Formats: sequence, structure tokens, C-alpha cells
Amino acid sequence: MNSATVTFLVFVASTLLITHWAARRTHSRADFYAAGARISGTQNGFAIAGDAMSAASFLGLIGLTFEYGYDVLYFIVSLALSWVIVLLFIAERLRHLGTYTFADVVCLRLARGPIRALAAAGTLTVAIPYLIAQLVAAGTLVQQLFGLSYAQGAVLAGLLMTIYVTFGGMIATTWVQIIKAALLLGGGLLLLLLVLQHFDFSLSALGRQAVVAHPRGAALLQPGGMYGTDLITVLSLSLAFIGGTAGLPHVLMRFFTVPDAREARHSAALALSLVCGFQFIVFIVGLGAAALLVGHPDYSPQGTQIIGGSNMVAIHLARELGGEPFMGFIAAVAFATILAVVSGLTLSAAATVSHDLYAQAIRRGTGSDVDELRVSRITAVTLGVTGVGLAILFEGQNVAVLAVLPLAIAASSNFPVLLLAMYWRGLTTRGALAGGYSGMLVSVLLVVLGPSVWAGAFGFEEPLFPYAYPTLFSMPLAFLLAWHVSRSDRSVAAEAERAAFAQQMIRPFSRSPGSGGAAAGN
Amino acid sequence: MIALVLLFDACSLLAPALMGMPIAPGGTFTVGVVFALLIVLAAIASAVYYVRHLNREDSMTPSSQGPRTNG
Repeated sequence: MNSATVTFLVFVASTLLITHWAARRTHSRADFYAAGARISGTQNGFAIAGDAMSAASFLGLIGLTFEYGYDVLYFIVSLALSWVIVLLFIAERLRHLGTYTFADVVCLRLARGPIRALAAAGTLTVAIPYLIAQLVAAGTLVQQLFGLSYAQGAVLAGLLMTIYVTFGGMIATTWVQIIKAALLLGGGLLLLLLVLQHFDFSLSALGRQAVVAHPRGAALLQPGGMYGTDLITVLSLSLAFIGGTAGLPHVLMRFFTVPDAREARHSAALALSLVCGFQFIVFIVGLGAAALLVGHPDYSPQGTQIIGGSNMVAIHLARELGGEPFMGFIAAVAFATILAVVSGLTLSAAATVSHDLYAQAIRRGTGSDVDELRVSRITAVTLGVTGVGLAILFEGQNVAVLAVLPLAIAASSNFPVLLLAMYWRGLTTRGALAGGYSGMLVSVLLVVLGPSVWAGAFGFEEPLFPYAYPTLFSMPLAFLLAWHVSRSDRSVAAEAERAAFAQQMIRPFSRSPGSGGAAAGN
Repeated sequence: MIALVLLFDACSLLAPALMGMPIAPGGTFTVGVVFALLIVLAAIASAVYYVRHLNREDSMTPSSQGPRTNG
């Protein structure tokens, strides 16, 4: 049994014990969806950072830095700004106004049925491709490292995530995420120290070696490797991160697990610091990989064509610097990262089906906690089975293609609707639906017609939409339509919705401690 | 912050030439990394300031809002 298997088995055993412990503490839907609001700000900060530090941002960004160098800084600065937006505009007010899902906040003063359907559509359209992308990555990783087949890897990840969510709910999901965040930060930091130690802690020596070794030479440290001089793609990427992070349902849901807005604020600030620090670690490690692995006979004998694909750069670098045991540790942490993120995604998707669709839109708040939890658990199992099936179907697909869609949709649908609902008095149901659905449809359409899917996945020579990310077009369109349709809505219902804004704003401050959730009757 | 990020994007796209003149080798990278680091540090500093400021305000303002639980 190799070190990767041992580390992974220890992680799985610990998380299953946590799930058993969490299952005994999960009695109500508040426990299942929001851990009974008993998670502290610091714990939640680690859990949110864990959600943000996915396999894409660890394995993916190290691979991109290894290949393209400088351009990864676009991701880092955009991500930093995205967390400032979450902290300043989203975290506190979301916690004030909501209960379990972001739809609770949006439909406080808007029509319940159609708005919850929109939120559910947005959540599922974001969560399912993201889930498939993570499971495809899990299958590939297991295939490379543990000697199992791709399908067995996807099934293993799907099975574990279903167990965490179905039995342990948000309590188990949060603690799995906290443990994984600590492991990933520790592993990343150790990898950074080993890289720096190799170059006697001299960043300029590291840079010089990378330039000498890399086929792109000095261009590795110049902008343009990934996106050339395409301003529209770079701005779209920045907007996708800025709006997408603030619109990801599994991240938003975490703000309901803390007891009050003060803790929500604290957790967002901590998550921001951890994520930003981690991204810089990843960038330097990626440059270290370019300096040490390019042309290495064991890992990358032909230039930057790394064995196992660019997602394996971090794993190979760990082996080069720390030998088999350290490689095993990093590989197990990478798999744990995938498991933790898919659990959060599954929980947010299950919550939107059971809470937004079943309990609020269909049963109109008349169902019992037991019924709602049963629907949630059935949904989690269904998502697990569907996700694994689709991941097997998508074997060999570029994970980055699948991962672009969620951020773009979240930025173009969930984010505009949520932001306007919380801050703009004039938003009406018709405006929210027009903005939300148009942003969602246009972003999906443009991604499909763009270079990643139309040319990359479908194999056509030229994409019908020339830019990799649609956000520069789809996000302003969503805001514009929401604004225009709301402004031109002269219905009686629209007037009532505008009038209810003031009440929405004072509502949390007049609520007595421990009273029911915002959407209890909504 | 938004302006800083857009400025970073624009400056990176305009590099390595500045007003038609090539920048010294490694110059773009050094400036770019320092600029990106400053943006990240500004984000962290503003987050810390914001949280401390509001926490201080909260502690000075008597509020009827107490801890709440979901559901």
C-alpha cells in the first residue's frame, strides 16, 4: 500500500467518523441546511476558503502557471477583488435577510413561486456542470494514483460525497471542508517552502531558472501567453470571477451557518485572506514547477508536455522535491479537496430542490421538516448517481471547459438578481425574472458557441462566438434587463414590491432573537 | 479596487511596450507581480479595516438584534 493510499484512507476514515458524529446532531432542517447556525466565524472562514480552494484552483492554476506563467496573475487579482465584493456587499446583508438559500433573500418581497424556480434553475445550472467537472477530475486522479479505473474513481468520489451529505448534512460538509482547507494550506505551504529551499530562498534565481528551462523563455514572465492581447477576454475573465464568486450557491449558503451577521463578516474577511494568500503560494509553486520539471526525463521529457496532463504538475513537483511520501500526501489532499467541494455543491443543489422548489414553491410552506429533509436526502442520492453517470460519460473531456460555465452563469444570473434584490428598491418580480433568465440563457449559449465548446469539444474549425468567457456581455445584459423591465413595470404587484423594500431593510433589526427565518412564511 | 484590477488588466495587455518603447527584460514581470501583490494586500487590508471598524461600531451601538437561529 503506497503513501497516497494510506493518507487517503486516513482522511476518509476521519471524515466518516465526523459524518457519524454529525448525523447524531442533525435533527431539524436548520441543522441539515445550515448546521443550526452554530458554526463560528473562524470555522466558517476556513470552510468558505475550502470551497474556493477547489481542485481547479490548486491543481489547475499550478498547471496553468507552469504552462503560461504571468497570465495567471489575472486570476489572482480578480479573485482578490471578488472576495472584497463578497465581504462588502453580500456576506452581512445575506445573513441578515436569509435563512437557508439565497432565494430566501431574493423572494422576501418578490413573488415566491417564479423567483424560487429561477433560483433553483440558477443553482442547478451552476452546480451540475461544476459537480461533473470535479468528478471527472476525481476519476482521472484516482486512475493515475491509486491504480483503480476511471469509473471506480468517479463512483468512489460520488459514493463518499453522497454519504457525507445524506447523513451528515451541513455539519459534516462544513467539518470535512475545514479539515481539507487546513490540509491544503499546510500542503501548499510545505510545497512552497521546498521550492524556495531548492533555490536558496531566492525568487530571482527561481525566475532565471524558469526562463532558461521553459520553451517560451523570457516570454513566460511576460503577459500574453494565455490570452494574447485580447482585452475583451481578460475583462470577461475578471468579471466572471468578480460576479461568479458572489453568485456561487454553495459559497452563499455557508453564510447561513454562522449565528449572526458579525460572524458572517468575520468569516468572509478570513476567507479572503486565506484564499488570496493561497493563490500567491500556487503562483510561486507553479513557477517553481516550470523551473524544475520542464524537460525532466521523468515528468516532462518533451518541453511542457507533462506526463498525465497539466493537472498533474503539482503531484510531480511534490515527488521531485519530497519523494514518494510527500507526493502521496499531496495526491491524497487533492482528492480530499475534490470530495469536500462536491459535497458542498451537492448540498446546495439538494437544498434548492427540497427547500426552494418542494417546500416553498410546491407545498407553499405547508410541508413538515421530515418531508423536506426526506426530499433533500433523495435529491442528494439522485444527484450522486446522476453526477457519477455523467462523469463517466464525460471521461476525457477537458475539465476546464466544464468549469467555465458555472462561474459565468453565477455571475450573469444569481449575482445580478441577488445584488439588486438586496440593494435596489426598484427591482420587481418581472425585472428579476427577465434579468436572471436572460443572463443565464445568454451565458450558456455564448459558452456553447465559444472556443471551448464549439471548437474545443464539438471540433468545429471556428467558434461562432470568438471569446472564451461570455461575462462581459451576459452580466451587463442581465443588469440592464432587470433594471429596464423593473422600471417599466407599472403593475399593482410591482408597486407593492417596491413599497416592501423599506420594510425588508428594517426587518432584521426588529426581529426578536431566535425568531423564525426570513423566508419562513415566504 | 475595481479600478486597480482594470488598470492591472490594461497595463498587462499594453506591456511589454510602453509608449512604443520595450521595457527591460524581466521588468514587466517585476512590476506586474508587485502590482498584483499590492492589489491582494489592499484587499486584505481593506477587509481587516472594514471588519474592525464595523465591530467597533457594533459594540458602541445598542441594538435590539440578538443572535438568531435558522428555521
